[in-house]
Amino acid sequence: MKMNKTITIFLFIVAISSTGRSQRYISRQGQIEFFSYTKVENIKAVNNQAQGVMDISTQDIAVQMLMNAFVFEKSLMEEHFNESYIESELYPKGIFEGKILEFDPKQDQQTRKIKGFFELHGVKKDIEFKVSITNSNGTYTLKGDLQLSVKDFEIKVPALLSLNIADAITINFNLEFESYEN
Amino acid sequence: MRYFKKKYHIVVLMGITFFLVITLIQFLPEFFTPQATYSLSSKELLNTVQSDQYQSFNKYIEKVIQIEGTVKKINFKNDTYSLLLDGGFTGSYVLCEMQTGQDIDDIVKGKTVQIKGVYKGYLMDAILLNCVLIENDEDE
Repeated sequence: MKMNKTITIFLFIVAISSTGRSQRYISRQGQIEFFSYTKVENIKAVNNQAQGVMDISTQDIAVQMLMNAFVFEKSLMEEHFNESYIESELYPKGIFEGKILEFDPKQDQQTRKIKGFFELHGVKKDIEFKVSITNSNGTYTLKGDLQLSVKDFEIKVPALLSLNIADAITINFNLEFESYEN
Repeated sequence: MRYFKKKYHIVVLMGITFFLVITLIQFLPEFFTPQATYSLSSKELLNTVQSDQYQSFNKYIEKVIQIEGTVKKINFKNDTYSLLLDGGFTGSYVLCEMQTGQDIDDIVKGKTVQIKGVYKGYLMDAILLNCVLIENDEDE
């Protein structure tokens, strides 16, 4: 319920923003990839519908993704991921909210730290990671990678499959934010 | 001799059946796409998911639904086409990631299309994956 409110508030802000050039930037088809490397199995999944809002004046950033929109090479793995690990029916979204520290909207290229929290599987965790920001023709592209632990989000991996899932999952992100114009 | 004739007829019958199946597969691709559970306009979809009744649409998550809407934008990213359908809401659309091989050549901004895809849920946009275009002259 709270998630729906958050997005509704963002949409409302976006909808009423009209004075001059908007400070709000939107990403609709952000890409999030994650990798699990083990001796037994390498697993990779990609989500091309991460959606987010970035305010270049307040440096706030919020990104959401539907967990069931991660696409795996093996559909059986996708089923396990949604039904057993993430329990997507109960926890449909991955949510990040934070701030881009010392962000300068005028620079063409910069590397900054993003600080905030990531909520997954009903668990909120504070995280901090580097981001590379490119500003080209009014589009901000945010790229980077980070590692998250499966255990930190109370994701239960059956003992039988513990060798197949890495403790540390590598996440790559690539999101293009465009100015919100009516 | 009689036995041989019977076997021969069976083989010919199998051959004809095989040929018919292959022909069907080639010329009626729609025949093998899953039937849509529910059919509605992009306006109706966005109205529902943005209202207090948004949970009522959750039963269609992971189901094939059919959407009719006007194309707001066509994106090509990572070798994949996606269509944004207008639903009368500013900043909130129906985002359809198209299957590879779909013919997007005739699709332009402002055109009304019928799309069938798997409904995944709703963030800023309502999101559908594995989408196919429905031809207007086909009975669905």
